[in-house]
Amino acid sequence: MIVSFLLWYILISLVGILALPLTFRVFSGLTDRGYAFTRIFGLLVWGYVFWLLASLRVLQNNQGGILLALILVALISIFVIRKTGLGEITAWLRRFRAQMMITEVLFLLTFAGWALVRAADPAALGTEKPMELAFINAILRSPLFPPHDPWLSSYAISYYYFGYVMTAMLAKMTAIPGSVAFNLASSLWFGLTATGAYGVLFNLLSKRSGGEKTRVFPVSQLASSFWGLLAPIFVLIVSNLEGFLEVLHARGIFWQRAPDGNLVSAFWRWLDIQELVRPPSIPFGLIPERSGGIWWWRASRVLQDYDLAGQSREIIDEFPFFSFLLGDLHPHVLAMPFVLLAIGLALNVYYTGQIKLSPQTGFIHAIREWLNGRAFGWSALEPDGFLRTWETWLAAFVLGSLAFLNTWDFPIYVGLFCGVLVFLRYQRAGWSIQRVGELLEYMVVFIILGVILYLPFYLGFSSQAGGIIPSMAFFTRGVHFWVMFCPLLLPVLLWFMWFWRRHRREVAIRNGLLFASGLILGLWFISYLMGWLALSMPVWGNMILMGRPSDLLQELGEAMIAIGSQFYGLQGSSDAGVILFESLKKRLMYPGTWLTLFGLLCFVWSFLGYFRKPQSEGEYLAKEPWLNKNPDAFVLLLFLVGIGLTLTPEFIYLRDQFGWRMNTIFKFYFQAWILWAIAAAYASVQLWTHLRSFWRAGFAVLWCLTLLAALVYPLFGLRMKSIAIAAGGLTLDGAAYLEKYSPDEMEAIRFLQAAESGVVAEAVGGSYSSFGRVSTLSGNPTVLGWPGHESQWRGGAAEMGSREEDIRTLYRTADWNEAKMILERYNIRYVYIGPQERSTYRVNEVKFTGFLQPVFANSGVVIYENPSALPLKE
Amino acid sequence: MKNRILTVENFLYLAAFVIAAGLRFVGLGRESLSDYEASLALQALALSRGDLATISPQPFYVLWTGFVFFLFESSNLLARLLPAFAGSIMTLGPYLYRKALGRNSALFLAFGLALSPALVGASRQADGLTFSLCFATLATGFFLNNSPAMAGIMAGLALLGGPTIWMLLFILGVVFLWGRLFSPRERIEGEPQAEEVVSLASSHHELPWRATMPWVLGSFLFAGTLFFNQLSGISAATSSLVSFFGGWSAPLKIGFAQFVIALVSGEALTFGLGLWALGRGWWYKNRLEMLLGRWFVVSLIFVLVYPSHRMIDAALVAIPLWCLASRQIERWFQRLPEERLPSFVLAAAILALYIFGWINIAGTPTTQELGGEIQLRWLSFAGAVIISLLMSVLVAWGWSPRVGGYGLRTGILGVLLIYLAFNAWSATGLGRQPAANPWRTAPYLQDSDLLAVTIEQFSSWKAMNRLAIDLTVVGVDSPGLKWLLRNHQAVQYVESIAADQNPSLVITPVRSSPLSGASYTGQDFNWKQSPAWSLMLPREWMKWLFFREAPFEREAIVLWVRSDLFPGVEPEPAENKPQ
Repeated sequence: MIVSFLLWYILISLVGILALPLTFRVFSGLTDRGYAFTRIFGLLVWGYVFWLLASLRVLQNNQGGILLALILVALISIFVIRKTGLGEITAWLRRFRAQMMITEVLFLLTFAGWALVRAADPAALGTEKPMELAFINAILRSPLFPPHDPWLSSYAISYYYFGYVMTAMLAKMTAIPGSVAFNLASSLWFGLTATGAYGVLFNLLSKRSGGEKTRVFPVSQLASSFWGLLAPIFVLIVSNLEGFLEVLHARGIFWQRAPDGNLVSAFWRWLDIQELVRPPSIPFGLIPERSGGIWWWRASRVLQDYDLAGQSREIIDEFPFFSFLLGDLHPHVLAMPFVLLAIGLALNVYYTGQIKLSPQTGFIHAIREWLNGRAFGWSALEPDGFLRTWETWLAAFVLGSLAFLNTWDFPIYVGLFCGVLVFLRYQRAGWSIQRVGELLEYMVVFIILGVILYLPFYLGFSSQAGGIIPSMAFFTRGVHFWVMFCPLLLPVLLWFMWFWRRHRREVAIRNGLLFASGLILGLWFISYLMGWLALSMPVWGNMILMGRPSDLLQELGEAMIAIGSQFYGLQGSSDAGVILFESLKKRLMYPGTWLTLFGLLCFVWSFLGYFRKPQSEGEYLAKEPWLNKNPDAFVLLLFLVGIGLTLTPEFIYLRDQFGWRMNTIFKFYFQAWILWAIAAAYASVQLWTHLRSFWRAGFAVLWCLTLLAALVYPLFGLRMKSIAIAAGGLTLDGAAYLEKYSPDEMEAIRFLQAAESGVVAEAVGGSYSSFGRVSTLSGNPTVLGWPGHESQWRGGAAEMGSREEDIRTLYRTADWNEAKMILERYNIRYVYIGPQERSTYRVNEVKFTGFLQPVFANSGVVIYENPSALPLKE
Repeated sequence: MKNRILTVENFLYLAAFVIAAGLRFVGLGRESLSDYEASLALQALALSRGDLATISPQPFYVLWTGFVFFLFESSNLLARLLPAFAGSIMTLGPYLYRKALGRNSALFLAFGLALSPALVGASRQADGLTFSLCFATLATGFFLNNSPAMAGIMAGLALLGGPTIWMLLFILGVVFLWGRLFSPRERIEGEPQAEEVVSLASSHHELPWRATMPWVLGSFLFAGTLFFNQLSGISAATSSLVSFFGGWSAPLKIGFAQFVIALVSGEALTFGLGLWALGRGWWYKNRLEMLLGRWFVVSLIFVLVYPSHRMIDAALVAIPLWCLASRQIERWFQRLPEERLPSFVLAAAILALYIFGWINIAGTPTTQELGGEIQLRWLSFAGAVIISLLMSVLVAWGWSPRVGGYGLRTGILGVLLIYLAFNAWSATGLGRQPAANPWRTAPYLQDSDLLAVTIEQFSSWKAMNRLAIDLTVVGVDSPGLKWLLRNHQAVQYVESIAADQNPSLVITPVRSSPLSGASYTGQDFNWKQSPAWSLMLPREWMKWLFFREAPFEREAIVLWVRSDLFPGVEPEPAENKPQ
């Protein structure tokens, strides 16, 4: 375990060293020259070079290919060193020694610390861990890219799998099995996220405005380094208040005994968080517990959606600590360091203005010119050589990676990055509606460039997204919103108040009010307009069908009816009037979230106006030291994007397989958490360093209490893991559980790991279960793993066809010819018969014993080989 | 002055090349490829057929042999053609080191490289080692001669050779560090110094690093991708670095005794002369010889301790050793004595005496221990040695010490040369016991030809085509067998065989049969054969040293033929087949 950890530590540090010259040059605007991002950036460049060249069949998916990719990164670094000068880098490193040490210690402690946590509970079992491990093992086992789908033989992975490529790359390079790499990756990503968050905050705090002597913060650079540690705490450790509520609940607070002896509570009923509405176990205690359940799970399900019929819909509201505690290596976790890298890049652009900002950006201008009858000039598309600067392409490279890591994050951070660019233009040229056009234009450019750079991924990816639908019945209750975000919102809100108090003369709150009102009403209008269209679809569809339509129109009409009916079903009512009215009524009855966001938006927009170009000489002289790349404005932009992410799903959301807001809230709130956590850390430092006397004491009490409440969850969460440590047997092997509980199966899987690759037949079953374990652990593709997940990844069941039924037939039939046909159809090489197969199907083994030879057998498992199966295509 | 191409020196280099080519090409395709060779050749074959294959860490061999297969056809000879060619070309490399080593030394080195058993053994195998050594030798030579283009091209090709190039670079790196840390500062007056010799190599003061690098990159990319036809070749080149590092964690492959005996006996002449030169160089603080000595010592230690070493890695030791030896030969023979006739007579007499002694010793392993015959043989050998020494002393007394010493040296050299020639020939694997060739990387496949012919006969009998019969190989993981059957149209490799399958021919390991109850008749074939090195007794070692005879470990396979294929047997009724 320690050797594996050390190997990863050495390797990722080597990658960081190789990337140092790159970050030194790229992040020239940051105080730490991107030092905190070296490992993240290095891993990204290395992973990209390897993945791209492997996808183009230049590199092989083996240690040699991975090493060559690393050598290429080293060559790029050498090239950059020659450009920059080694002396400059080493001189800077000497000056930056203390901060460098803090970054290194932070990384080592977080990486090692989380490795210890993972070692206490390493099993890659439950939730979506098997799926993630299956991806890692499949990538390790695939000779060529794109890697094979472990749960749908003869298909490539259709998922955002870049994080798994990186994990597999590290595993292969250090010759560590996928099941160990799974837990090491979780720990490594924890460490990388911590350093990334630290890097962002440190560079915000250590910014000197208007020259060396003018500090934004009244603290030294070294002090900034220590204050910077608040960012990883807010991003990674601070949790929502559900943990605190659990303690109150377990203690029996707000519960009264009714005359019939039952415990009742108006508070908990009003709060309406599942499971907490039920009375606590007696005797009351301080430690959260749930008989027959997992208490810590509930923190990720604080929000609750109901349709108009009162039917509840599950909503996921994960936050980073929960995700790491859960231990899933899901894309949103794998994307975290890279999201912070994107924020760091945006901050660097904000400080340096590296990307050239032309007075008139291209597309809209060019189209307008063309509409006015002038020739369409390609040069008009990128005035000032926007597309010819390496900074543009670098930004596209970093932002584009997010689509491959966790597709949802791509538009979010393109939005943030372009928002920074537009803000810089706003500072220079003031506000006009043209800024909106520019924002869209920049976003289109970066999305296109991002797609181009990661094109091989898009060629094999089918998204489950099915468009945008209005959120009529679903919205977030204010109390849930505050339980979720209170620890982050409170410091920010206090900072806003302090800021307003300080600059109230220059801040035009009226602008903020107008903008916030306009935006929320606009979203409301769009949502209801879309809702009305969706509700009237069956009517339009029926009208089309009534008029003897052509085949095409017939299909259109039927589709409209189907979509409309589905929409009605989702809302929980069949009456359009009721839906519109009830939706409006419920939103007005529970205005907490949108009112909160309205208020925050109002503040943020007004404050951003403060950082506009000074209108007069006097104003300029008064504000100059603060205006020059003031980090406050950047933090406000981060917060603004967070508002966008939490406000949008109140009105519209992305349609997926589930139909409701589950994934939109999950993915949007998670990113909002990261953005707001940085803002909260920054706000905390602002207030800690600026407030004096009574105000400082008051803030300290409030801040400490909130933080303590927010740390209850991690405290008890880690306690739970420490119980596992006490139980003994620390290991990082995610497959060790199988060795312990089912050694026969582990032995069989080891056989398959060593045997030649081939399609495995194993029992098919539901998601989040142990079905698919053979393919998961061996890396061999199976005919079908978790059907539900395959359906999500591919946006339907077309590719699966009759596989589930065929596998059932294969195991159950007594007819060898029928079985043989299935073996041939799916090119099955190994038929695995273990306890799961025997309990799922009434396995008829006679046909196999009669016609196939067992290549492996022990007391629990038999593996038959089909000799006529073709070897997997390389 | 007229620049003559056909000088005696050039002619002698050509002669060395011809000898090298002769030893490397004669009967090159006679033996079937071993499992190790076949695993590489099969990749080359797959490439030539357009099948995408993962290239192992020997990209130059796989890519360019694949190209040869594409142009012609696959055969044992063509699979070994390029390494043999590179091994022959390597003998011309010393021509580029004439300034560095001295003209005569370089020429002796060329002959040494041509005859070195380790190099002969390596060059006759389908493997990338020879490419690494050959191209690295040429690259350094061209570099010292200020030919950056050729040096770069050769260096790029050397990087594609496989793990050997990293071994070589590792060794040279250690040698460099050793030199830096412990090189002597004082010099002996009158003794030629290395830097003086090396500086002669290049007429320019600054070595052409900058001009060389683009050529390195260019040749690496072009040759490593087969002119951009197989891009993953460069990836395979870095795999060789991984393979080199991975080799440190592998279990030890070859026993220490086997390695040392094979190396010392095979390169006895070189060892003698090389060590002499090394001792002398160290004594007189000759930097060139000390450098070569460090290289030899580091190489020797490396090949002994590197866990994944193969016997042919001894070639890494042979090169510095031959450099040292060639320096010593030149030193011995640079001035012939005035009275040559007595010297040559003495040398001939000593040669005859040692042959006599040798014959006596060679007979000991086959002699019964009873009756004191063995002691007699050893006494004869000792007598021959004593007489030769006495003769030398007498000649030295009667004529001059120089004449005596020259005769003695020439005589001993002659004996060792004969033994070297014997070893070089035995390294070709063409002797009576090809399996006892110590330079093999994998066991000899003994009955491969017989197996191939048998299968083809059955195929011709049944399918009217020698390659069309359906054949299933069950549980035999042998690339050599796959290579042997590469042109057969209906071959299947499986771990088990389905009950409803009744292929005409089945090949299995010796202890299993194709199907219980099925009607097959089997014939076993000796498949893998290799000396039982770890079990050999001193007498057996002696026998091996003189006659290349050894006790063998054998592994057999069985060819099963469905009974109805034999003449006069009716096909089995369907109902008898297992259901």
